[in-house]
Amino acid sequence: MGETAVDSKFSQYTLRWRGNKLTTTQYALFAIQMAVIILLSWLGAIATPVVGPGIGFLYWAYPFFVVFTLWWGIWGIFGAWLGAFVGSGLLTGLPVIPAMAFSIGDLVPALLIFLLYRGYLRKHGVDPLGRDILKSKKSAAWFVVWVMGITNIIGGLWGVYVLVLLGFVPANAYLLGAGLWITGDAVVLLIAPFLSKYVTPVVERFGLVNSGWVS
Amino acid sequence: MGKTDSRKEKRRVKTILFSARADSFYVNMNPLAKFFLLLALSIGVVISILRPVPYLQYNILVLVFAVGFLFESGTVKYLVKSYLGLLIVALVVMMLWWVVFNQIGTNPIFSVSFLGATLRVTYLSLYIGVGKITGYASMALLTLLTIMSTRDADIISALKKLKVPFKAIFFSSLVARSLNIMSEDLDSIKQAQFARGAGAASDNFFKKVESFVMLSIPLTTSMIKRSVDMGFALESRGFSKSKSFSDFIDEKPFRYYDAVIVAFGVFMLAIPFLA
Amino acid sequence: MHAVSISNFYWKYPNFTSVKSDYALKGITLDINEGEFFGITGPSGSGKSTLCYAIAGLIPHQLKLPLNFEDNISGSIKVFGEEVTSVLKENGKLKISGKGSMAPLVGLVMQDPESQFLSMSVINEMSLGLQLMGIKKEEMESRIREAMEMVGLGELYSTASKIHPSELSGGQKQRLVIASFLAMRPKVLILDEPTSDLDPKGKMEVIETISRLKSKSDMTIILVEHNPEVMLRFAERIAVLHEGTLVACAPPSEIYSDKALTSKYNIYTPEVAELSDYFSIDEKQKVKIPDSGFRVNRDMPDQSNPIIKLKEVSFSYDDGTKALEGINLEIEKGSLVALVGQNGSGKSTLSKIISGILKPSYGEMEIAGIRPRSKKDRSKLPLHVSYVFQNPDHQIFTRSVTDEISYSLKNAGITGAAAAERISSILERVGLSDKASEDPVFLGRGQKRRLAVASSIVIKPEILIVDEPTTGQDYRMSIEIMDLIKGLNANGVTVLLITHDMRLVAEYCRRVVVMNRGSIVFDGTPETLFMDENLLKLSSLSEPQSVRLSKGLMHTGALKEPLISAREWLEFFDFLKSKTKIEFRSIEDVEKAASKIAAAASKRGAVESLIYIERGGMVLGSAIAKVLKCDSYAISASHYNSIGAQTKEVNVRGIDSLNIRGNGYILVVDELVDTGKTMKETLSLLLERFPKTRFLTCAMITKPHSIMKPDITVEEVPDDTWVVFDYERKEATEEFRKGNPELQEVLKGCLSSHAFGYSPAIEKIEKAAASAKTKPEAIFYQNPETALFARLASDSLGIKRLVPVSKVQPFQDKTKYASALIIGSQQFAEEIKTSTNAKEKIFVQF
Repeated sequence: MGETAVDSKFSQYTLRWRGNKLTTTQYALFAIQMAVIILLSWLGAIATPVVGPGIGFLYWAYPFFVVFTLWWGIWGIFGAWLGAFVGSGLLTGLPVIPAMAFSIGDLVPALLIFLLYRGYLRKHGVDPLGRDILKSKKSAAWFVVWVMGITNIIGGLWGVYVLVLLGFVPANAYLLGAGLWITGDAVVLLIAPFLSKYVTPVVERFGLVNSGWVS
Repeated sequence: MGKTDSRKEKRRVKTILFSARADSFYVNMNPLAKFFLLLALSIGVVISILRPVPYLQYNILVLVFAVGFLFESGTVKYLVKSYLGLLIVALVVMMLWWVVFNQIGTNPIFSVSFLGATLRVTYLSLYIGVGKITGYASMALLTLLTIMSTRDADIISALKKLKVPFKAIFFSSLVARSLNIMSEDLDSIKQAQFARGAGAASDNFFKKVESFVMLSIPLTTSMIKRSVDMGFALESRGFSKSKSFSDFIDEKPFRYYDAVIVAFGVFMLAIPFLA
Repeated sequence: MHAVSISNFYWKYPNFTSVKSDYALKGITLDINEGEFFGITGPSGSGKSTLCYAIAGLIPHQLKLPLNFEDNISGSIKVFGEEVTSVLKENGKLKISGKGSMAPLVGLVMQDPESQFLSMSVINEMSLGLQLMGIKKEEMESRIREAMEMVGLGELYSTASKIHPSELSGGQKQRLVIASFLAMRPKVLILDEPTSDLDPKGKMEVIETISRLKSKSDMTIILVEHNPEVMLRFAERIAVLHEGTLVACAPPSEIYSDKALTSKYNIYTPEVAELSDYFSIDEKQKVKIPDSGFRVNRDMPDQSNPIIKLKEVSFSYDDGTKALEGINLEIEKGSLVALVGQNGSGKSTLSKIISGILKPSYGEMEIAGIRPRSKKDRSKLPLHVSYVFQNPDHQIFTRSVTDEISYSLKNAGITGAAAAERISSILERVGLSDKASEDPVFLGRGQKRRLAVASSIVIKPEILIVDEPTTGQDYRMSIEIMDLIKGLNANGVTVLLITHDMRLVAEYCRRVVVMNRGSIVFDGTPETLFMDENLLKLSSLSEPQSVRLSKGLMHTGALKEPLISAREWLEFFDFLKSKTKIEFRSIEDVEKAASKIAAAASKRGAVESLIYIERGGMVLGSAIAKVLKCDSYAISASHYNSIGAQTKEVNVRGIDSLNIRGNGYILVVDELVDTGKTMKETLSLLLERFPKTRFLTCAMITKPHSIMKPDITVEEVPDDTWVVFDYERKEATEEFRKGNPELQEVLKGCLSSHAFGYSPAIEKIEKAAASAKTKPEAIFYQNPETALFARLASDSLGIKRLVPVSKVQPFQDKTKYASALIIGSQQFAEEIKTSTNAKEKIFVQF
């Protein structure tokens, strides 16, 4: 099978807008997964070393929303945003304005990850649900470059930029703050491949993985 | 835990986080007015701390307001138990960053040399630092006050007022409801992990990572089970077939004192612009 | 009109991977009448909930189906004539048609009230369905008020907008869910195990609500329930499901009286059903119970070596809720203690403190020799204390059943072959051997619970805390799990059993601790607890049916102390029986009797021959013939037919073929002369055939009302005495009556080989023994069929070791004999071949 061919077992997971009919059970599931991300973000944030103003070092919800996004598309992306805004934002006592602004820093990486995995990577023999990161060098490389690298860096730079703009972080400390943010997230993201390998088959066997953005 | 005895006067109500006094002024405020006040004061504080030298008096005023209503709403004990420590750490770190990375001012209190670099702490940098942390603290306490004094139902009522479509409102209500359920499930899962010696209580980083991965199986199972139950519960009430959604109880009408609150918010927002 | 009509409905849950799954419902055809109170019962995983979801139109309409679902569904369901689901073929393609969700016509209340709440205040919960129906505000208010009153929550109406569902008790929650459907005025209300997640108080509240519904409304109610007492009280008919199939549908009294059905499908029955010989299903006495001096034999726990010591322990949650206050408790090493009380009474908090999950706010404790002072100390406790949570989903972490068990073993440092052996043995015990490689997530709820119990007990902890281990299990599996726990306990493991099931407490525990509002309100024996009405009321507990029966009889004076379980009742009845029972426990008893008879017979002169009446007289007759050294002949005579019923005529066979020389006198032998008809008829026929021969009759036992008194008897017993012979156990005769052809063949074989004395049989055994390379050291014989031959062969061959093997009891003898004789049928030999460990096995077929 050629490099550009879509692996037949992955062909159902694409970037089309709607897959199957959305059932009420799925509707409830998407609400619950958002609640879970909010909770994990909250628990992660209050049990995390604070290394800078508004900067926690280990954001435990990150790997979870990455896999949730790969499974559930737009719902996962929205969950990533809500997790950051409410869970690691409002519920941890982060003021409402920075919380609202910096949560974009989670939404954008989630969106970019979904686009790349369900779009380009799916067509190039990489599992769009990330189950093969631990066994394929190519998938591992893409994970490191795209998930731990580029999207994480974008998120970190944005988040700390917002904190500087709002006057929480001194401008001089921008790079230091962003560096700490990005490093911390990269560390916890190492869990994502395990989660994907370990739990995706369960969700798939229930027929609950979205084939498109919405369902 | 506590059972509801219908004959007793209900003294506390459950809120998004913990519970608050049922008859508190802040708890019974119209939710839209409350959210407006939160936004107005927070923007005011942001403007205050964005000035080259923060407007300390303003920050302190907001801080006093927030602390006062934390007492009034009966939520201060939860703040002390759950968040005070966290907040103090965040403030100390913030203070350090502003003292270390904001080397301005001519009037040093003291200076330290380390590896060829000199760290000076001036009256100005200290003042700015204090201005920043009071601003941060006032906003954080105000946010916590709002969350701890707002009931989930208030959010729904506010969204309804803002004419958000019913399915979207209901979705938010489900998220809020699930927070409650999943938080209990998550607690139980973590305790179950501990009971099987799964290292949930370990401080070792790798053990923590392992327990997080192990947590994912029961967490996923519980999410799926809950979603089937909730989906079925919704459908057995005719959710997907319903075309309209009739109004029922509007618990908190916009009253005159809510208008006073909004006016107060506008006034407070204006201060940093005018001062 | 039928409220619900189901026609040949099949359903298999879709599976989106290659793993194969079975049908959850198989060919269900069922009609439920309008206004009927219909019950559904059956073990966990039998398809009860699935059937409810299908009636409500949730299955298949609310589930994602694979593209080709031909294999998943067939048949149809209608509610009040309206099609809920049916499968059509359109243009060669399968299509699911029907209305789907039947709201508001059908309401569905599920097991767990918590996850059915969809909003955050009582009033919003009540209004949700009505809002979705588009009902106007004024009507909504009146409907809500009416429905809340109907379920007994009327008093909450005024504060309903301030109450969050999580602030309600379990019973209140479930009643609120019921009310939220009642407000929608459904014509069919389905209640799917509405009490299974509730404590006794909640159960009681919901049952009262159901009772109100039944008396006040004409709704059709479908109730899924395990509890037979609830079913008996409410249901007009019940359907029994087993592995997705409808196996019975009848009024509950018929179902629960059908022992064969309940035992075949492991259906929970009322406790009195176990005592059905003495009580009817409605607890009425069937027999006269005399005053007796019966004392139950109950061990009292020793109080000298506590493994759990708590002193003044208190605990408060972060929000200030006091969960425990001043707990003083010591639990003996090796004891099995029940911890009971309603939800929120502090049982779980106490267990979490003992297992190190929570740290007490105040007080001192010592668990398995550890006094945990720091978090680190507490994290060591799980190595000593295994805590099996109520919800098995929360304790399953791996992706295969085997891994789940080996995870526990690995934590305890057990790996390799030792681990593999323990895994296979524990999986066997909990009935999960065939699921070893399955993903635990996809096991049924009952199976998951068994796995959770297995994973905890496999490491043989010092202390085991187990929370509701039998919920959702069928009757047989509940007993298996409790026996497993009891077995561990017998090996020294201290067990703390948290349960709402008072039958378990009565049956398995000698100490019970009752908690109420964070304090211990009782610590003593179950019988003391069950007799304390005030305490039962205070703790919202109810005594088991056995205790209720006892209380009734104690009033009449027939019982001095309460009998708390079916087991104790059976012991009591055994005791009563034993007063009028004569038991011949062994062949020796028969031989002693034979010697007595032989001595008495010899006094009358030389015995020429002996005729015994088979089958009862066979053993005794052979033993007498052995003493007298005379020939013996068998005839058969009976006035019972093949199924054991009395017949008018006595049926005598075998007299014509007798070939007696007739010099001395002839002894006619029977073991038990009951009515005397058999003996009388036999004797008259013998006299007809051999008019000149002298006959003497003898029997081991005779009863006073017998029309024929034998010439010689060993013992005369009162008329109502029950005589039991070791070689004629009930099981064997039942087998024979059932017409087991194999066994009949064996017995016939015994008789024919024995028709002339015993020598042919013994010769056969002796010959076989002589053919052995090594002299046989033991005889394994089929009991009771070949007991006599084995006995005789053991004497003549000098083999001391005689091993009786009964068909009705499991057997294992792993002694390493060099050589052994196996006496019995072909099938018997096959069956015990693997249960014996002899190097050389010589088989003698009878």
